[in-house]
Amino acid sequence: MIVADLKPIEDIMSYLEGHKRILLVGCHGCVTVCSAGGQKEVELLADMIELARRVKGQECSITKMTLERQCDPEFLEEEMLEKAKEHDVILSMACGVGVQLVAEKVESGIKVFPAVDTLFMGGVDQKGQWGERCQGCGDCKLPLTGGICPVTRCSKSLLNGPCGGSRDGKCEVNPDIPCGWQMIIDRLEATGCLDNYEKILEPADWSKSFHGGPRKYIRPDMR
Amino acid sequence: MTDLSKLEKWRSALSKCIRCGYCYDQCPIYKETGWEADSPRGKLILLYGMLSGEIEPSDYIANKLFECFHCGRCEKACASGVPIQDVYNDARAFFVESGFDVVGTTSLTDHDVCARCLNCIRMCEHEARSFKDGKVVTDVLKCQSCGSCFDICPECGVTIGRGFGTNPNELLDKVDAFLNDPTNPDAKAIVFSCGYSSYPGLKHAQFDDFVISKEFEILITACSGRLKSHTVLESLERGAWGVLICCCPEDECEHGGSPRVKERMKNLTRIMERINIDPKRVQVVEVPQGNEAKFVESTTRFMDEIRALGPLAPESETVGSEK
Repeated sequence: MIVADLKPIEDIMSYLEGHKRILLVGCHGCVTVCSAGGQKEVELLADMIELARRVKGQECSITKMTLERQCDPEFLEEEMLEKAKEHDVILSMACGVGVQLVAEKVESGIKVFPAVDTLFMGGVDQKGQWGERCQGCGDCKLPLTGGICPVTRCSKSLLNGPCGGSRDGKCEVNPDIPCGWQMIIDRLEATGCLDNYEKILEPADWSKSFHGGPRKYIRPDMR
Repeated sequence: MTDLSKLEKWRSALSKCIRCGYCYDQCPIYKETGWEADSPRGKLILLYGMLSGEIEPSDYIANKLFECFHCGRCEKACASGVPIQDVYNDARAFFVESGFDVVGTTSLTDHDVCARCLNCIRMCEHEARSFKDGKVVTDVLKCQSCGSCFDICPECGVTIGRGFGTNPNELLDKVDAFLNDPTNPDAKAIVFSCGYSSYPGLKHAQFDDFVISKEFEILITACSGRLKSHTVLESLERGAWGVLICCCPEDECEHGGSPRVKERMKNLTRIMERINIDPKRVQVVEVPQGNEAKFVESTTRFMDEIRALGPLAPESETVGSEK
């Protein structure tokens, strides 16, 4: 899932400065699952904005809604775009993808702002904790590395590691970070695939990653 | 024909109940409704009636047995030593095995809105929730009705059939009633109190008409972890000058709610500070069970601070300069 976190409230309030009619839009997708921008968070942020405005003696009216997904234009069209016309500003609690879709589709003249910072693609480490697992490099190395991503789990994204900064299974960047390459070696050993470690990975083709500009994924069979 | 044989072993224990009613004082559910069938005594009489053949098992009785916050105070107070919780447990198992439709105070999931984030499963201290056949389900025999899962759910998908005054909408109704009572111009603050710790010492033998203070209203949650952040903020929005939350000491909380409510309120007050609302308006204090002195001291100190702050009005806060 895409993991996100609420932006500092003073930043959010600065976006809303001078606007009275606010449309606060959550998303039932990833940001709901990581408790950053779902229905509950919409309620809480609305409370906070109302209290902040009240303390300042300023009025505001907030319309709250949570869309099935903000990254699908159909859900925006069906549930939100018409409603948006009655508002001065849209505050989206979706990830950066959702915010951008909203900004693309909504009528010009209505400002769109994010309420969360999009952090990473990750999974649940333990209750109340999510960890990064994938950087979307476009050229998955997992078959050779025991299912542990060197691009993401190694702080330096080394394809042939570890570096000299690996100490007792920890990364020199931060002792709380396990060394990605130590994990890869341990996993390869546990699965009897340590031979893979002897294979030198070729330099990555980063053009498949973001370095080739914004990517598209096209499925002619679905058109 | 319903098989009551599993409950037969409790026939003598049920006969021991002398109907004294000491359990009344202790039961948060009976105190909310004042209805005999909601009291531990009433529930024991219903079970006795089933065993003696005078009444048939029914969904009504099944639900009565599942309407319980599992505090166990009724058993401690029982003059005849009836092992009420053990009797309840076997009776509940009987009703579930017999296919009765039970909800009671247990926490269920609205599958239409559930995001399947599984956070409620991960946080349940009683391992009462699990993911089966594509749905989050509750083992009603394990659920302790603490409601700690309420504020974990990102979709408002946790439902508790009967809250007996502790569900979010019921709490907000009571907040409204207190703050908007035209006969009480002194109303200022809300004290949310854990039903397991501060509540017993607080209202040991008192009913709802007992008024401790006209300035603050004490509202009982089950576990403090049941209290939603939204309920706290709404209380401020609806006119409370401040909110005090009394929870168990962390090592005494059996539901994991106490540490969670502290973290939640830490987050809330951090944000409040940044929007120029004094964080002292929302406070959490640990009150061990039966420690009335701590409760009184905490509420007294809190109210002194709240009075000094005054109502939450435009430009009233000076927190920026205080920090």
